[in-house]
Amino acid sequence: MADDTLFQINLVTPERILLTGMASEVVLRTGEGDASFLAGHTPLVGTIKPGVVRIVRSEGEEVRIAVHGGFTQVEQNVVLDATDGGADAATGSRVTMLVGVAELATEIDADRARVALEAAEARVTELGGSANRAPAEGEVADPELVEAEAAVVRAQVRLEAVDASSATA
Amino acid sequence: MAGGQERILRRRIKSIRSTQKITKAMELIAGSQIVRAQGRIAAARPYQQGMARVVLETALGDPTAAGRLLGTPENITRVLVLSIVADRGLCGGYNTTVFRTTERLVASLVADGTEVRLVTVGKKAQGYFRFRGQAVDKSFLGMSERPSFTHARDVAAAAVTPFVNGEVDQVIVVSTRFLSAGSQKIETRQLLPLVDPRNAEEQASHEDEPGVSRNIAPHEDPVRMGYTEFEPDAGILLADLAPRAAETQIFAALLEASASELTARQRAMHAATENAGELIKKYSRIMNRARQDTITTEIMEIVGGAEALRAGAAGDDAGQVIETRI
Repeated sequence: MADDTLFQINLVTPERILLTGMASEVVLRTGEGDASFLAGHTPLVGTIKPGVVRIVRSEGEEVRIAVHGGFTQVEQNVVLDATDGGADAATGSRVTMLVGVAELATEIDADRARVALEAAEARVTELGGSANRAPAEGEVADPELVEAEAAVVRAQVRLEAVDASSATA
Repeated sequence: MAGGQERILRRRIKSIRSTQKITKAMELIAGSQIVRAQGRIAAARPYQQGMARVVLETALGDPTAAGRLLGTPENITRVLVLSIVADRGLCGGYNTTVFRTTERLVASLVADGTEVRLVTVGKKAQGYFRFRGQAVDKSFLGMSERPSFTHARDVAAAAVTPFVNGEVDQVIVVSTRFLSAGSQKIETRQLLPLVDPRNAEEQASHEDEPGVSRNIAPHEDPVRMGYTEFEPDAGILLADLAPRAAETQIFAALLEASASELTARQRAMHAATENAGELIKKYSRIMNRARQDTITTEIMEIVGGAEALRAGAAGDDAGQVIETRI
C-alpha cells in the first residue's frame, strides 16, 4: 500500500454501495460505545448503532453519513477485489460497514427531518400517553410505539448529521 | 356461402394481429426490464457478500455461540415455508413450477408429521393456495415487479420472526434463482438457521463469483482465527446478525425471482408472438383459398350461364334453320 495511514472503506446498503474508497479515519457508534478506526486496527466485528458515521477521506475531506443501524467489520491483510473501488493495492486493511439505511449528510433535507421529528415526537406522546409509558410490565411493547420511537431516533440522527456538517462547513 | 367464410376469417386474422401486437409489446417491455433487474441484483451483491463475511467471521470467532442459529437442526417439528412467485401471469410455467415444488415440499413435510406454515409472495400464490384450501399465514402482494429492501423487511417480519421467537425450527425458501439470462432454476433452500459457513461446501456451487472464495480463503488460515474482536460478543452479535442476514437473503431471493419472472415472461411472450404469426399465415392461406374458390365459382357460373345462353341461342337458330328449310 502506498500510504500506511490509509485503508479501504466500503459503506454498503442493501441496494447499493453508498461510499467506497480510501480513508484515514472512521468514527462510528458500536454496540459498546463510540469507536474510531485508524489504519491497522485489530480485526473486529461489531454492531453499528443509529448515529452519525464520520469518515475522513484520503484527501482530508470529512464525510458524514446518517446511518440507522447495521454491522461493521474490520479486516487486516485481506485481498481487495473489484468491489473495493479505487484500491490499486492487492492487499490491505478494510473497514466494511453494512447498514440497512444510510444517507449522506449532504443529501438530507433538514427541514423535512425537523418536520418528521416533530410528527414522530407527537406520535410517541400520543401513544405513550395512552399506554402510560409502562413497557416493563408486558414484554410485548406496542409495535406502533416502537415504530414511533424509532422514527424519533431516525429524525434525530438525520438532524445530527446535518448540524454537524453545517458546523464544520 | 363461401363469401361469408372469407369475412369470418378476415375478422379472425384481425383479432390475432391485435393480440400479436400486445404480446410483442409485452415481450419488449420484459426485455428492457430484465437489464434493470440484473443491475439491481448486481448492486445488491456487495451487501450480501459483506453480510456473509461478517456471519462467517462471527461463526468462526465463537463456534459455541452459534446454537440454533447455524447449521441444520436435528429435531425439526415445525417448519415455515416461504414461496416466492409473481403477481401476474403470462409468464409461461414460471409460477406453476414454484407452486408444484412448494406443494411437493409441503406434502412430504406433512407426511413426516411436521407442522407446516406457509408464507407467500405474489398475487398468483394467494389465489392458487386459497383455491386448494391450503392455509397461508400471510401473503404479500405488489412486490414481485420491483422488490425493494423495505419489501424484504416486511416479508422477513412474517417469515423470520416466528423463527426468532422459537415458533418454528426451520425456515425454507422456495424460489427461482436467476443464474443467467439463459438459465433460471427452482431452488429449495434453508434460510434459517443460517447455513453454517464453515461447511458451506455444498453452497459453493452457488457462489459463481471467484471473489467470494478469495475472500474466504485467508480466514481458513488457522493462525488468523480467534483474534478478531467482537463488540458485543459473538453470541449476542450472532443473534442480532441472523435475522438481518436472513433479511438480506430474502431480498436477494426477491430480486432474483423478479428477474426470473421477467425472463420467463419475455420467453413466453416471444413464443406467443411467433405463434400468432403462424396463425396469421395459416388463416391467410385458408382465406385466400376461400376467396379464390368464390371467384372460381363465380366465373364458372358466368361462363356456365353464357354457355347455356349461347347453347339456347344456337338451338333457336337451328330451329329457325329447320323452319326455313321446311
